Amino acid sequence: MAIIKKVFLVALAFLLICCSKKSITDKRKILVVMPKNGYEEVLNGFKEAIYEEGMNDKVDLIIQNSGITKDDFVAISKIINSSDVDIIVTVTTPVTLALYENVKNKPIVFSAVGDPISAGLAKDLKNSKKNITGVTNLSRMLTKKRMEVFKNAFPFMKKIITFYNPENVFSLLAVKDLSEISEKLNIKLEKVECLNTDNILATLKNIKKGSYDGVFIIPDPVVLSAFTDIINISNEFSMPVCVHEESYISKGATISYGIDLKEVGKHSFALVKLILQGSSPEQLPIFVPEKISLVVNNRWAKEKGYKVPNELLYLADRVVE
Amino acid sequence: MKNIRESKIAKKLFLIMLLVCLSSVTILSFIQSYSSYEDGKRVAENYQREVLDAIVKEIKDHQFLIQKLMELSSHSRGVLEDGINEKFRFYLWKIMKHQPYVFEVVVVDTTGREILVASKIRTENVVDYQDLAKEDFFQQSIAGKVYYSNIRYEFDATKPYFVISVPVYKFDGTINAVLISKIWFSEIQKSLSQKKIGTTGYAFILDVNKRVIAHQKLDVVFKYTTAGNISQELDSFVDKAIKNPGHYFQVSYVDSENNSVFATLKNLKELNWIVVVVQKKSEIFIGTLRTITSFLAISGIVVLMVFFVVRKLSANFSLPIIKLNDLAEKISNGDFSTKINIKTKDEIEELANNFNEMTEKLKKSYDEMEGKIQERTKELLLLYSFTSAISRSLRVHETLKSAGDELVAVLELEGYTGVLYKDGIWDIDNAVYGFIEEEKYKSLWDEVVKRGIVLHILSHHVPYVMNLSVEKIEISNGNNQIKSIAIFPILYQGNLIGVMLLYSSYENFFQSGILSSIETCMIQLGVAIANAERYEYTENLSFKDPLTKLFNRRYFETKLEQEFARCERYNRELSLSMIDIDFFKKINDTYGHQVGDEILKQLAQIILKSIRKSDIAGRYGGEEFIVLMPETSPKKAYIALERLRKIVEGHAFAIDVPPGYLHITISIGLAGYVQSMTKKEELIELADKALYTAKNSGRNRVCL
Repeated sequence: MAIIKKVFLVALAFLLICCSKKSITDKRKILVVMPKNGYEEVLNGFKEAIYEEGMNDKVDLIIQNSGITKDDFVAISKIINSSDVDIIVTVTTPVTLALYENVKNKPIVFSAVGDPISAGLAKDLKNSKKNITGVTNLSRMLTKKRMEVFKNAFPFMKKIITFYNPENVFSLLAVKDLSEISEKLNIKLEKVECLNTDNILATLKNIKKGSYDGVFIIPDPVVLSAFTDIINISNEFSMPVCVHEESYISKGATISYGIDLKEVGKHSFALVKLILQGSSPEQLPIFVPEKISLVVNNRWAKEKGYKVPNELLYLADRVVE
Repeated sequence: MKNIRESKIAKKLFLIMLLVCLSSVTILSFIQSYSSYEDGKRVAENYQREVLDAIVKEIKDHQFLIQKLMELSSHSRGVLEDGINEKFRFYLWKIMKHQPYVFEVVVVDTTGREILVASKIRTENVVDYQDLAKEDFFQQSIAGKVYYSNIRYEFDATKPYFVISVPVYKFDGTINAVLISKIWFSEIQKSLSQKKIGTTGYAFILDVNKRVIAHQKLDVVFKYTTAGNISQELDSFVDKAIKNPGHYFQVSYVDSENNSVFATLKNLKELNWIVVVVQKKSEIFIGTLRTITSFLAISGIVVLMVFFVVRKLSANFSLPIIKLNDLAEKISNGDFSTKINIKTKDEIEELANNFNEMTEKLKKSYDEMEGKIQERTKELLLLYSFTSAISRSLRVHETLKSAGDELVAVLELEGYTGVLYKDGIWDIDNAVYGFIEEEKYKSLWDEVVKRGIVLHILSHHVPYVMNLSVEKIEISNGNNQIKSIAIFPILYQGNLIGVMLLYSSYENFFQSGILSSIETCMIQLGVAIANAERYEYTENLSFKDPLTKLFNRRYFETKLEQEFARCERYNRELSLSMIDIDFFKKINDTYGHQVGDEILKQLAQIILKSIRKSDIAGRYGGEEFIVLMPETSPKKAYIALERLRKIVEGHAFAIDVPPGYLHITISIGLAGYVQSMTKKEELIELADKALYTAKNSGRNRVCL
């Protein structure tokens, strides 16, 4: 019997040694800081990736509304500095910039940053800065292409309106690109500067029927906070609205051309995972998703009596009828 | 009883069986492991080749599809015949629509300038047309080839893509332009990640610069990952693969995550991509691992089985041997009562049975031996006790009696009779007997004589045994019936000096063993009796006068002294008388000394008869006798002596010479002990004086 006991003990010890190697690590805390409106798809993609990777019980996901002003971002940075989160995911350029500036010693993975290089977050896509990396949605690069697609869809447009936030670097850059292309496409561009939602609402009040043939949305937390109001006006005056992302179609936008934010969210998590596994952010280049989709709200166009060219409808990834 | 666990045989058996079983299991497992290792390797090689071929086929199919789409577009009626054609752009867009990873399709004219762009990134109408004249894909396709480019990078060299270029023909068959498609490499990445390779397997693709351009396990492909970063072994094999396109290579290495892996790689000829299919060794050699695991399990089972088999075998072989051993030990300690009981139905059982038989025989011979020893011991004891018994006395009859008593006591006999034989006469009247009545032994003696047994013994000097039931004699002694009689001769120096009759209540009691030991005793008895006789004779010589058989003067004086001392101490009475034959000298002179001696002899007999037993008579000198009478006053002595004088006076002494008889008279001097006497000599002197007085006063009288 003595021999059998020994065998059991050895087996148990062996089992314990094996188990101890795979000891369960504590849950890692991921803080997602994002604007309340307009970027839900990033979060959805992020969550989806967590589930796909089977890491839902290994991470603690904390969602923090970023607010829309710089003050909001700084306030959040202070809280983060005194918390024990392992990694921060930021959504949109202003949020990222504010946190990168104010949060110390915590890795940041940004997403939905239209142009990280111009925003000063990276020297180039290959080389990210210390403690920060992320996913760009090429929003700035696609501004010209988006405008072109907008024009192709609604060739009658001669005069369009756009809003930009002078405090958002990306916004300024995008509006610059937009001006260039509009000129080439023989479209008159009305650029409205807005530091807050009220600026937009005031502008919208003054719009009259026939003032503009369309609205071009430059992604920015301030602009998107008034998105519903913009849609209401555009509906009222039959102005097609061009957006950067598919999800706005369901909120009333007419045409979207850009990178799927869900993909952005998914890729953000891929980077988060690598950092949690021990990679340092500066080793990871900034990721560029390649899936660009064109979605057209043809139902709205038909309602308003517009005829979107058949070729475009054919080429669109999705057409809302 | 030893425990089976302590059995050395069981241990040896266990070790031998364990050795045999384990070594066979080990050899089998080794062969199995080796073959399964080889199998695993071969299977893995074949499998990885298959997977690799499938991946390659997929890639080629995918590219071929794009190529076909491009060719289809370029053959659309009227394209480019009239320069740039908006409708043609639509065809290009269709390619992108069908192949989402084609992100740009460009038409390049024969000079190398872009003339039509369909792009998901670039604006089409306000495009900055680029000059592609120096690009390899343009140069190859303008020469009429379909060309697949090396990997190129977009977006700050972070996104790999490749180019397929096809020539565009005019209706007359001349090359009009080149159609170029730019395709994200992530499409390949995606198809790789959907590929299932075993359970741990994965694939990746390297370009000619040994950079990882697609990796199944990584969504993000990084600039720094190269074959050299993964493993040096892999790096050298990639070099070989680059030099030998189309060939398969197998390599084992440890990857960056410290996994031991086995990989197959191949360089795709047209694309210059190296596809690598990797599997963990633990998966490939799971068969080997299982064999080893099962070897351990089987070994465990074998140990247990061997243990139980040996236990069982030990019960069959070792246990019987232990039992036999124990039995042998017991036998060596003199315990013959134990028997071994083994039922194995084989030679061991036979051995055990033989052992039992042997034990029985041993027991028998041991008992016999014991019996004999006991018999001999008994004989010796008998002899010893007998010898000590007969040496206790120096009297003939006492010796005989002691001998008989001892024999009865030791041999538990009913009784005995000892009869002495002297000068041809059986002294049956003075026979010594014990534990038997006188008339019974006498009647038995008569029977013995009647049957001529006594004569037989006389002539042959051998014992004779008689069983009374055979002889039909019935004699009881007390409560017991005498069943057998043995008559032993008592011999000394070859002469029969007597016989000893022994009676037993058992039939056939006197067997040869007892017979011989009693015979030995009889020899001792013969010697003892002879010694006693001689002693008695010598004793008589020293105390008695040889002629008259009365005590001699020396003995008498000793006795007198004893009696005198007694009188002195206790003030008792004592009389001493001296007797003298009157005119004895005259008788001697007349008839001779022989007659004189005869007279003395006969007178002594008369004196002995007429005095009491307590009185002591002795010869004091020539014709003088002396009589000591203890506890007797001179008065009483006088009466007795007077009676004696008268008897002598009236007695006719027989003589051998005529007239045939003679009358004599005696004079007696008597003296009594007086307290004033201090010496015995005084008493003798007084008696002597009285005798003198008697002689002087006329003889034939008693004087005080």
